[in-house]
Amino acid sequence: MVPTDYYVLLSAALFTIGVLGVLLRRNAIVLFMSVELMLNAANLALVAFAYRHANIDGQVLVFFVISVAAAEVAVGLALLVTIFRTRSTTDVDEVSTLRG
Amino acid sequence: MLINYPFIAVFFIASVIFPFIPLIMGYLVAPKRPTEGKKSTYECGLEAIGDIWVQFRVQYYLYAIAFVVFDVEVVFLYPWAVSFGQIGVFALIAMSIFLLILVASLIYDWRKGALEWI
Amino acid sequence: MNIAFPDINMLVILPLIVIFGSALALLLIDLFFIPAGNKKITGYLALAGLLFTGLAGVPLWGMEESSFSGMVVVDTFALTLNVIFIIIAAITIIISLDYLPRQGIEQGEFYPLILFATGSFVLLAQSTNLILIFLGIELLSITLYVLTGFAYPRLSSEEAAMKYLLLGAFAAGFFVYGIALIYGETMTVDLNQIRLYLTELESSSTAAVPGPTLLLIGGALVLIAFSFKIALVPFHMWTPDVYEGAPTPVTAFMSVGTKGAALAALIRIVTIALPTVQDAWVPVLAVLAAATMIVGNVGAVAQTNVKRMLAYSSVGHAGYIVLGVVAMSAHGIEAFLFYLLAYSLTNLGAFAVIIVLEQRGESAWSLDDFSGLGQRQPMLAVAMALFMLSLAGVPPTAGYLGKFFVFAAAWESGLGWLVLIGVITSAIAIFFYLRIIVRMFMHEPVRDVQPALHRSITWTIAVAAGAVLLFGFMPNLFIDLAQRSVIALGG
Repeated sequence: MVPTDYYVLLSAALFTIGVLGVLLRRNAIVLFMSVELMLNAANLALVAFAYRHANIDGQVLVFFVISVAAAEVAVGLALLVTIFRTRSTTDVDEVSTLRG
Repeated sequence: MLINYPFIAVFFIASVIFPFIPLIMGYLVAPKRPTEGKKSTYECGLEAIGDIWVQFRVQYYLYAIAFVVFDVEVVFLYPWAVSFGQIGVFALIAMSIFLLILVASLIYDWRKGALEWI
Repeated sequence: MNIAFPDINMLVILPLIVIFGSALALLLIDLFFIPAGNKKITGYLALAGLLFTGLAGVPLWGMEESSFSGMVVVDTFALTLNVIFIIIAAITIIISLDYLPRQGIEQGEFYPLILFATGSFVLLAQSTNLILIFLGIELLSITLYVLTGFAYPRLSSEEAAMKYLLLGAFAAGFFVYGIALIYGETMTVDLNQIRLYLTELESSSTAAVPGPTLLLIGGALVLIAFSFKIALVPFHMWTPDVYEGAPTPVTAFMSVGTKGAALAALIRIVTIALPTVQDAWVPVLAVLAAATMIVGNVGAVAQTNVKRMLAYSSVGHAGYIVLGVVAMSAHGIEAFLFYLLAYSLTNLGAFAVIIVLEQRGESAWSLDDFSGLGQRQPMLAVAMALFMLSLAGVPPTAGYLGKFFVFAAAWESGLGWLVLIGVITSAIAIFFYLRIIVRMFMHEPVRDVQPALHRSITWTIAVAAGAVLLFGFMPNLFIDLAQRSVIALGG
């Protein structure tokens, strides 16, 4: 039986990888994947805590996180498609007419 | 519980080595007589036509995006279905409202033409 | 196994049912019955939906009740905020009616999306549970991503939406992980239960029992997420770009509505769940507020684009509003509510003037476009001058009183240094607000800008200007309401 602390540590590591991914990578698709990693790290922590406390609230939140993440990605992909049609790139640095 | 970890290590090493065995065997044992037909890209047994970087229709993305959303909403149905016996009529009404909202968005998709495959 | 149902009082969520119901109905009505090119009708129907939402609040007035196992609460604080949110949404819709067709971006979905966003504001004002607050924040964000990109295929709008979405999703990650850690410490996502846990921990506190470390780390992550939403420095970098790229009514809407709703949720979190660990978060939030006031106002000085200048100024104003929260007192909450109302009316009015001057294809946001406005359109120029004075905090406007109230509240709570920074940055702010007034009245016209003065938007500007003056002279009209809200919060 693996203690729940390990899950929490794993989730913290995943979350950090996600944050670094968002900060260091430049491709919008990769940024989405990094954000997903952050959200799923949180899901892992929630499930681990819910298991440790034998309390259901954390698992309920996980459902909402999953569905909200899907909605967010749907909007994001739709935006990406429209941007790609205007500019033919998904690199966030190349898409920057707003400066100052 | 730490005693379990060596097993995982063994599995890990074995699973890394395993795919290499047939590759190395093939490299050592198999005869090599390449022809034009053998070297070409394999695409379901047909001859490959054109570049692999083709643009997909935008319709394809609309389908995919709609699918992602509707697919994930199903997570709310599972816990409801599992505990349906205990929670009765009220939950049935609540879930009907939820599904009605989903149907409304499906009608929206349909009417907007996102479901047409041209 | 039997699952016990919590007591459910549908009356508590009546405003939510009405607004989300009307938004959903409007989406379908627009799709089937409203012909393209005549989408103003959808806008009028949306206004009707807002009216019904306001009416739904009437039977709840004076109620203090929480339901759905303490997830949703209805009290005077929430209802007062609802009124402010409905005013914000109504003004946004009215100023969009003419703007959207003029810019060639009229789509029926605009109005239901505004209703959905307003519904999420109402949800945030009413929820006392971290899951619901998460849902509210995300609903607000996702609708705003779409609204920001509404000027498709104008690239600046798409780009702003993409930036907003990426940073918003990033913030959402912090928010969820913060909630996870808070949940790990306290075993609950209910704000009242968290408070109970903390008081229990405090009473049993010995050397052997460590402090609520996980909760504090989680709280810090949640605070970062909120800082993104409210645009507190150093999490404000998206604000100028997104505010500039978004269609102007959307900019107006999110510069006031998002701040109000996110801060309402933050107030619920800190007053209900975290009063016992005040020492940990009050200094952090105070420093954020100070940095926000400085960066927002100093950044605005350098701008020659009026829309961008207002974006920086809205960052600065976020800092002032947060002062009301940091004060952690009854006066602080009153000041927050008054400031939010005053700032909403003023800022929506100022953006309405910008919309009037904005032409299709070119953005009339340069300072030059305001040159000589005093000669060509004296009434419009006077209204704009009034809004600028109110934003700068010059008496006798509502903006002045708002600033006065937040400073007084922060002073009473012993945050003298913060008040000092606030006063200094307000002085800096007067410079760039006055610059526009000087341009309008003392310069010759540089470019010929034809203002698109339609009846609806003219009336909106007039009413907003009147309200700014009215609340400047008679703040008591609203202060009584604010005081009753504070009692409701138990402050």
